[in-house]
Amino acid sequence: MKADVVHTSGCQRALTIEVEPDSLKPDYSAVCSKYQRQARVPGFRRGKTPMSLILQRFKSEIREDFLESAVQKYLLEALKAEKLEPLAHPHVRDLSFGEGEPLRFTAEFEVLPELHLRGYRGLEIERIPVEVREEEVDATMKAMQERMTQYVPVIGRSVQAGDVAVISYAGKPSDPAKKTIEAKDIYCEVGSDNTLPEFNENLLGANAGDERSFTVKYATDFPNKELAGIEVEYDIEVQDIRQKHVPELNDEFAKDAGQYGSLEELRKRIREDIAASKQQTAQSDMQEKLVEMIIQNNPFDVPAVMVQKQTENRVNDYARTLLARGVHPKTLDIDWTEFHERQKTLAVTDVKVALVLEHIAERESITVTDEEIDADIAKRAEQTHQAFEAVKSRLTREGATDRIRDRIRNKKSLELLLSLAAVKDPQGIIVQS
Amino acid sequence: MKNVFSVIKRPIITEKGLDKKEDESTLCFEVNVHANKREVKEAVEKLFKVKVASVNTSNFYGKQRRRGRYSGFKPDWKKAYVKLKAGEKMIEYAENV
Repeated sequence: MKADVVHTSGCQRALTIEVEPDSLKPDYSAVCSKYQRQARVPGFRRGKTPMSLILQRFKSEIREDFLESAVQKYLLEALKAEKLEPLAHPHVRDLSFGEGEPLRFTAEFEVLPELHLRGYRGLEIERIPVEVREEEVDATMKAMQERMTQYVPVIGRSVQAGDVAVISYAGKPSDPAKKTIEAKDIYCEVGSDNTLPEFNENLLGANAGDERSFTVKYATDFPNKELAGIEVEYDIEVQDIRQKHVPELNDEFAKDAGQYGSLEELRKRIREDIAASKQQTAQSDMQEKLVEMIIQNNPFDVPAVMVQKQTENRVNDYARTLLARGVHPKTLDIDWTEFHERQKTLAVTDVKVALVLEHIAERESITVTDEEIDADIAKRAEQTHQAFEAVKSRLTREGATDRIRDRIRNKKSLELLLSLAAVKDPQGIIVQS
Repeated sequence: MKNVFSVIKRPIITEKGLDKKEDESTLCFEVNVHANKREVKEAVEKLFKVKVASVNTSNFYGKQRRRGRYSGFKPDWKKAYVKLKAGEKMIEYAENV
């Protein structure tokens, strides 16, 4: 057998194989006798048909069968001999074979690029400063305040500005082709900018149980396209009047929010949480930048199959998130071919990052132990309130443990990269090396 | 019978037929039911350009076949074993099956 490897481009390899007819004979006759044993020919008992007849009748089938197994066999042999590992099933072309002729074919496939990363140690990177501004703490507090706002029922008076009216309504659009809009238990803040002025006007001074009718003319640039530019006749009924009760920011509030001794303690905790999440983002930003630098310093080709697969993964993930939100991807006004193209460029980076991290893990002999995987699974189980064993067996069955292993390994590689880097503070002074 | 092709319908290739061909230089054909041994002999001689020593024939009655409530018969047919004269070159009729 002769094998010849040609680097066609980047990660693409073409392996031309030629096998002498003599070494093919045993395989060919094995296929023939298989047909002789199994073929049913009228006039003959099974297995008693003469070979000459078998060869006449099943010529093309035997040839196909033989080529399939022979190509497979010699391709594997050649790959082993040349130490090549195709990323996907090789594409076989220029296949030629005849009686007494050698078997010739060319297999095309892609292999992982050979990486010789230089200079991933001691890369200089500017530290991203982490600071928590008081406004951010205030904003979080305000959000908490809003979450803890209660709506207290009001009895014995009519709606005033600032109240919340609980209403049910039926809106009849002037365009008879459009459907009537109906809703119940709608919280409508009277006097707020978010409420339509017509509603504000009509609700002011209304009592619980009152009914009002009025017409709303929507502006042409109204965000809801269904309603934009049309007139709707509303019949509303005030079900209930409630007063917004916003809790005051004091120690009592801190206690209600989650067992904090004082407001100051709550603020401290919020500040710490924000700092931690910012620190996390800064860390991963820095890690990302490091990998980017490595990729820029060490240009290499990426296999098209991997990019293709990653692009599909990205598109599928996006479609899945849309579905999870209850949006069918086909209803969206997206140019899918263009979207695909955009995802493709991102996928190239994804693949490069993955390859670089894998390479670094190998070079620095970073391994992931089974205990680390178990710990990750345990965390997942706790988040979803499921038994550890159940989650583990499911993930193992789905083959997801390998993905978890890869993720942990990548995380470790990234952490190592950052620890090997020379981190500078904004003044350019190296603070860690 | 005027036409040799209306006498000889097809060669019969079976285990028995191949054995006879090997051992007794005898060919086996399905022939027209109305053909007699002499006509078969002439036809084989003319068609394959060989000399025939003897012809044995046997008649087969068509088997009964049923399609639901209708029943009928497959056609009757005749088989002929044609022994070639000693020293005649064997015909390879199975060449282009």
